[in-house]
Amino acid sequence: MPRYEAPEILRSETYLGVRRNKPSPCSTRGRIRGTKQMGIFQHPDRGKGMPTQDEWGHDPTVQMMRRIFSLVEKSQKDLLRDLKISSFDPRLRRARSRARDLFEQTWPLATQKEVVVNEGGAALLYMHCLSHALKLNGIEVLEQVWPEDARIVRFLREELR
Amino acid sequence: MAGGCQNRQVSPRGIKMIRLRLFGRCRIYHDPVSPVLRAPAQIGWEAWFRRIDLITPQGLRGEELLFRTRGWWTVEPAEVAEVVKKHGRLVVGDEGELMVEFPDEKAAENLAAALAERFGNQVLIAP
Repeated sequence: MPRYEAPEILRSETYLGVRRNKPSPCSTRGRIRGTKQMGIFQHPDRGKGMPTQDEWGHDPTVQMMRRIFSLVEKSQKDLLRDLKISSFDPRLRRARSRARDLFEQTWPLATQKEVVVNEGGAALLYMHCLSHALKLNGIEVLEQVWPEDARIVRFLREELR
Repeated sequence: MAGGCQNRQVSPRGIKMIRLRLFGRCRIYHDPVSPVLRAPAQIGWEAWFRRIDLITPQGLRGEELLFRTRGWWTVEPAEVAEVVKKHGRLVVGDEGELMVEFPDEKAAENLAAALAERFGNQVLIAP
């Protein structure tokens, strides 16, 4: 039975770096392909239909990533609400894309330098990246709406130089 | 609230439409993900009595791209298509994105509400 590749997000170096509990970049392309868990990537039309249970939920690394993404999503939603930005605002596309790139670039370094030490820290770093990207796209993020963390700001300034 | 203008596309009939990307949640990490057609499928041909060298690149239609999310999203794409088609048109964007095209922002808001009612926070529309 043919197997599909894992989604890019699983194969991206940052996430694999997290999986292996060490900072990226690290070349692990294909390392987790072909494990028992990856069975869900078999062609869905040949299988027994959509699995209803969460096959990944028992993996502690997956649990951690879910918590981080969930924190990030909630923070982002709250920020956009406070800024009174519509979720359909076209500027969000470029801002999210830039924030994602910046986050992926800086997260491993921030972990290495212990600027980010836990899940909340990772979410906070993302929010700084998003705030920076929003400003680049003409959306002002006032200090009163979203106060910045001095340590992360300093770190990002150094990395963005 | 700000929004709207740059999501707009002019349809072949000259009508201004709004396009938003369609996201589902990754079954593994539960974050919003959306398929992108990076390159068209290369369709070749084989015959019984002759060789055919022709290769025809073929894109996917919006609904076809949506159906490729089966097993990758937390929800069944056929059910998503059923809801989406009541409010907008599934299309593939200029950069291969899976998008929904709406006549106006109200239709987009209606779809967002319908998706939330049917799938909770599992399917989202965003620029």
